[in-house]
Amino acid sequence: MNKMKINANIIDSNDFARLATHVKESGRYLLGIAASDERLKGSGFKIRYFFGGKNLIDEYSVSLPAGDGSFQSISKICPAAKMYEREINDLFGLTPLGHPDLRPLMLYPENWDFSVHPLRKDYNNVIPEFRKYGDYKYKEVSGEGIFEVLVGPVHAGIIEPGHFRFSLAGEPVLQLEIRHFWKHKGIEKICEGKNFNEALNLVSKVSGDNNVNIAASYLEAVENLLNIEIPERAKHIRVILAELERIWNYVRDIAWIFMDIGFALPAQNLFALQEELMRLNKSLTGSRFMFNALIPSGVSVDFDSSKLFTIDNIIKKVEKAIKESEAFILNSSTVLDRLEFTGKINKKTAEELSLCGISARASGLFRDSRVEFPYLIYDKFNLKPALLESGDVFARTILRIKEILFSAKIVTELLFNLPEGKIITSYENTAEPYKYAVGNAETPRGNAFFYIMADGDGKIFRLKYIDPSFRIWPSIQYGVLGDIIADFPLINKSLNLSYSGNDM
Amino acid sequence: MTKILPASFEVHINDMTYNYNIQHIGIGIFQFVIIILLSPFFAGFIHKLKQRARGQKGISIFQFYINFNKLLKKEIVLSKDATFVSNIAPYIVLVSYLVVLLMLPAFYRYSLLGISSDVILVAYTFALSTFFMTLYAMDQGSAFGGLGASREWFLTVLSEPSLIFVFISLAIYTKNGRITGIFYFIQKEVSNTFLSGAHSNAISIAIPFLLFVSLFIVSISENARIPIDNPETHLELTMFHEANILEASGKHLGIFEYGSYVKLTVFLTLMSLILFPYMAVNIYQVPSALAVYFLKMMILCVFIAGVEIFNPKMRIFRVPNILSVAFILSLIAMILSIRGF
Repeated sequence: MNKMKINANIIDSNDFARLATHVKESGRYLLGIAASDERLKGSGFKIRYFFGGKNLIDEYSVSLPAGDGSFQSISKICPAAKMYEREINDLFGLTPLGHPDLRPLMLYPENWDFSVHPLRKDYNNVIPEFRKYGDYKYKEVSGEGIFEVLVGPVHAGIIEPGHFRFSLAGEPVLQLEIRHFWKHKGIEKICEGKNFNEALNLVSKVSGDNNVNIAASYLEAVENLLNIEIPERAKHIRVILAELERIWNYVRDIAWIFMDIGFALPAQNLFALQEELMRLNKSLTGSRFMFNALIPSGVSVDFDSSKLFTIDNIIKKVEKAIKESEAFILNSSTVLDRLEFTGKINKKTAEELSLCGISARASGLFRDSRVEFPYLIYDKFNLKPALLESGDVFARTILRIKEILFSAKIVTELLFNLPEGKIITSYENTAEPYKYAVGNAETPRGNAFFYIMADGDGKIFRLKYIDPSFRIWPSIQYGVLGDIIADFPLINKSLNLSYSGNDM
Repeated sequence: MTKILPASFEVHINDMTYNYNIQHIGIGIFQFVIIILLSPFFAGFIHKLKQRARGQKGISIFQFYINFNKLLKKEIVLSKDATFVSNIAPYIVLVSYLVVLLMLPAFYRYSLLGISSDVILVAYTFALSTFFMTLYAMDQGSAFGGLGASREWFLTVLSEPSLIFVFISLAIYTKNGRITGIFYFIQKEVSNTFLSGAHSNAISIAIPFLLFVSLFIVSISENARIPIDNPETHLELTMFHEANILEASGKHLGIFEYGSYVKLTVFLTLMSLILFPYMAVNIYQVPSALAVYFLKMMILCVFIAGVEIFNPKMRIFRVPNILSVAFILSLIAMILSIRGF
C-alpha cells in the first residue's frame, strides 16, 4: 500500500517565518496548522505546519518552550494561515507575533473570559461565568450613503448560525465581514482521552452530509497510527460509499443553486433524485446519511449482488438526469445569465487562501486529495478531475455536474470488480505513545485533514480536524466583491459550506 | 313633509349620466364583496398550479384563508423605533387596493365608485399604497426595510410609466376617461364586431393586445412574481416586496398579505377586462357575467403560473430591460390610439 510520506522538519519559529516564503514559492500550499500542548511531555507547546504538494506532505514543527507564549506569524506571507493562527491564539493562548488581525475568533469576548484557553492541558473543564468580558470590534466602512446590512446569526429557514455584515453602497457590496463560530462544540477537546472508536463517532457527526469522506480521512490517520492494513474489499466498499456520498451531495447542491435563482421546477426534480439516493443509502447502510458505515479496520456493510444491481440502476438514472440538467443549464440563457460572472473568486485569491475542492478547481487551481495524496485505492484509477478557470457560480455548478458523472464512472467500474474477501480485520486499539499520523480525504467540499497524536496510554492526545469549510469560508468575502447583495445567497449556495464542520 | 331618500337618483358629470338605484348599489356591493372573498383563492390557485407542476403535493388552495385567519389572531410586535405610521400604514395599503377594486367594473358595469374611476386616480391609488408600504418598511428601522423600500421604488418608478400609458392609451382609444366607460366601450366594440361579423380595423385589435402584454409585464413586476421577484422566497437579501413587510407581524402581516391578494386580483381583473370585457348591464346578466369573469381569471392565473414555472428569477439590474419592453409596448399602443382616430 502506498502510504503518504511526511517530510518532518524541526525548526525554530523565527527561522520558519523566513523559510515560509521559500516553501510557498516552491509551489506547496498550506494544508493546516495544528498546535498542541505537550508541556507535560516536557517539550512545551508545539505548532505543526503542514504543507501539501504533489504526492507529499511537508511538516514543519516549531517548539515553543513552556514559558514562551508567542510565535512568529506567517499570515503576511501566507494569508491562509490567518484563521489558523487566530484559532491558536484563542484555544491555546499563544500569540502569533505580527498577525494583522488578532481579534478573538472562537471565544467570544461577549461571554467568555479570554484568559481561559480550553485546549491547554491544564484547562479545568469549567466554563467561565456567563457574562460580558469585552467587546468585539467589527470592521468599519464609512462614507456618504454607505450603510450596513446585518444578516444573522439567526436566519430565516433552517440554517445554522452565521453572522454576515454587508457594507453597501446601494446594491453593490463594498465589504462583507463574516463572523462564525457561534456554536463552538469543542469536539477536539472532547476527543482527548477517548479511544479511536469513540472519537470516530464524534468526528463523523461534525458535518453529517460529508460523514463518509470525513470518516475515511479520520480512519486513514488512525490506520496509519495503528499500522492497520485493511482488506481490499473494504477499501473498495469505502470508495463506493464515498463516491455515492459525493454524488448525492452534488445533486443536492445543484438543486439548491436552481432554487436560489428562483427556478423551482428543475430544483424539485433534483430534490426527488436526491431523495432516491438517500433512500439508496438507507437500504445499503441503514442510515440515510450512511452514518457508521466506515469503522476502524474495515467497513460495517457488505454488498450482495442484488444491492450492486440496485446501485447500478440508480447510478444510471442519476447520469441521465444530470446530463439533462447540464443541457438545460447550457441551453437556457436566463439561467446562464444568473450563473455566469457571479461570485468570481480569482485564481490568485484561491491560491493565497489555500482553497480546496470544487472551489479551488473552479478557479483553475488543481486541488484534489484523491490525486494529490492518494488514499484507499484512488491511485489505481487514472484520475483526471475537471478544471475550470472562470471561478464563478457557473464554473462551480458545471464542475459539480462533471464530478457526478466522474464519480458515477468510478462507482460503476468498481461495482462489478469487487474483490472477494473479508471486510474487516482484527487490530489493536492502542497506539504507540506519542506517535502521530495525518489523514487526508477529498470530501464533496474539499480536503478533510486529520492530525491525530496518541497519548501515553495509546488513546487520543490531540486530534485536529480541518474541515474544507474552514479554509473556504473566508473566500466568500472576496467572491462577493463587485456583485450585488441580492446575489449573495446564490454565491453562498454555490460554495455550499458547512457551518458545523467549520465550527468544531 | 318628511324628506325620504329617493329610490333612485342620478348623478351628472360632464356628459356622463350615472343612474344609481338600489339595484346598481346592491349588485355593486355584491361584486365588491365577492371579489374580495375570491382574491385569496386566486393567489392560492396560482400557488397550487406551481406546486403541482413541480411534482409537489402542495398546500390547499384555501390555505391563504386559513393563514389570514391565523394571523388576525396573532399579536402585533412592533420595533421600538416604530411610530404611529406603522399602525396606520397596513390599513391604508389595504384600503387603497379596495378603493381601486370599488372602481372596477369586473363583471357588472355600474361599479360602486364607477363615477370617480378616473384612470389617473386608479394609477396613483396604487402608488399611494406603495408609498405607505415603504413608509412602514422604513419606520421599523431595520436595514432590510430600507433595502426593500429602495428596491420597491426602483420597480415602481420603472413600471409606473407603463401603467399610466396603458390607461391613457385606453382613454384616448375609447375617448373616455373613466375605467367603467373605457371597458364598456371596448365591450360594445367587441360585440359589434362579433355580431355584425364585420372586421373592424386592425388597430382596434392591436391596441388592446399591446396593452394586455404591457399590463401583464407590469402585473408581474407589481405583484412580486418570478422572474422579477420571488413570492415564496425566505432569503431576505433577494426580496423586493417581502423585504418591506419583513418586520410585520400578526394582524399587520395578515392585512398586508390580504392586500397583496387583492392587488393581484385587481391586476388580473384589469387584464381580464382588456382581454375580453363582458360586463352585465342588468341583474339578469349577472350570473353569466360572473361565470365568464371567473373563467377569465382562472385562465390568467394559469398564464401567471406558467411564467413563474418556466422562468428563473432574473438579476435585479436586468429588470429595467423587461420593464422597458412593457413601456415601449404601451407607448406604441398610445401612438396607435392617437393615430387611429
